[in-house]
Amino acid sequence: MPSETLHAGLTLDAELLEELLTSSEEAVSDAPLPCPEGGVGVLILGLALSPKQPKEPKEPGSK
Amino acid sequence: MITERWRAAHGAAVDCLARGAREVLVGGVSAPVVAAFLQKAAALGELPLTGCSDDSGTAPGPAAAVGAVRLLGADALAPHVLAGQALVPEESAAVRLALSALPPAQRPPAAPPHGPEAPWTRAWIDWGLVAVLTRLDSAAFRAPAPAAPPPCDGNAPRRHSAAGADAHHCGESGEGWIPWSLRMGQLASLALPGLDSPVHDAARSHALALARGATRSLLRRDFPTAARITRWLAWLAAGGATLPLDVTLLTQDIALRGGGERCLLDVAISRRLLGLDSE
Repeated sequence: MPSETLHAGLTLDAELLEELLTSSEEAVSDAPLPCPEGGVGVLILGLALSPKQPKEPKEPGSK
Repeated sequence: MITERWRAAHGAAVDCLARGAREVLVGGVSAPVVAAFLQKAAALGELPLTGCSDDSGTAPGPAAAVGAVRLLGADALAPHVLAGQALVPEESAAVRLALSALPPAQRPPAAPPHGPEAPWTRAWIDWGLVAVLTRLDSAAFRAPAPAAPPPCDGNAPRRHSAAGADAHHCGESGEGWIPWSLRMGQLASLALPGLDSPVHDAARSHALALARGATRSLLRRDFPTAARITRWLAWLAAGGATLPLDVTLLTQDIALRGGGERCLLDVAISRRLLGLDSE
């Protein structure tokens, strides 16, 4: 049984646990997502050219 | 002094335990997680720093292994909680062992900014573990619920922190959504069915702040933090709350892009909370 094997004198370090429990978020930057050179222009162009909601089909005979 | 060696050993131990819990959870089997983990650590009796590996057969040393149980908190028993299964005696004994190695604080400190952040956080994690143990078995331990977290103020500057220079003012007006959501991420092991506390009330009251925090972490590619905050969103969704984002998509994205055993366990729990495993 693990409890028999591990029990003798086993204590935990509160300071260590607390530091690990409150570790800060991953050290990555808040910088904008990287994109290739000229990527912003491509993104804007993509947004401009992206398909819009399809128009209602015209009824036959209507102008 | 906390050395890098100890930090690495505990990190490896948490990875091993989280992996064991996830395998039992995803596999849908009924098996002791904590007992098996501690037994393996006791058998090796050393403190390897090689992490959790199937091939090497290594496991963390006893102290780091027991510490990992306390670091995962209620998540160590998440497979039993989500399956609604009672604990077998050896599992219950293993959790009691982890609790006896550092008994939960009987007088938890005040919530930040009026009290120290780290002991308050540990008191909540311990509360979750004892609450789950009591529900699934009977606990000889008592862990009083600490004070409620500082409120979130949607109108405060997003980085406004309780630990800032104007702590007294913050205690009244609330924190910005960034530090608030990060703190909720640290308390993510409480986001399990059947647990309810002032932390859960805070989550119910600030779904938008959680959604912002999870999205921000995802955009920063901090997937472990994103997975933890998303746990709260999944918990809210499981309770029928209306959320300002699609938490299923968020969970699936983290599952695809995230890594690390703890992150994967959070994702597996979120999936179970959202009912995605039955698809």
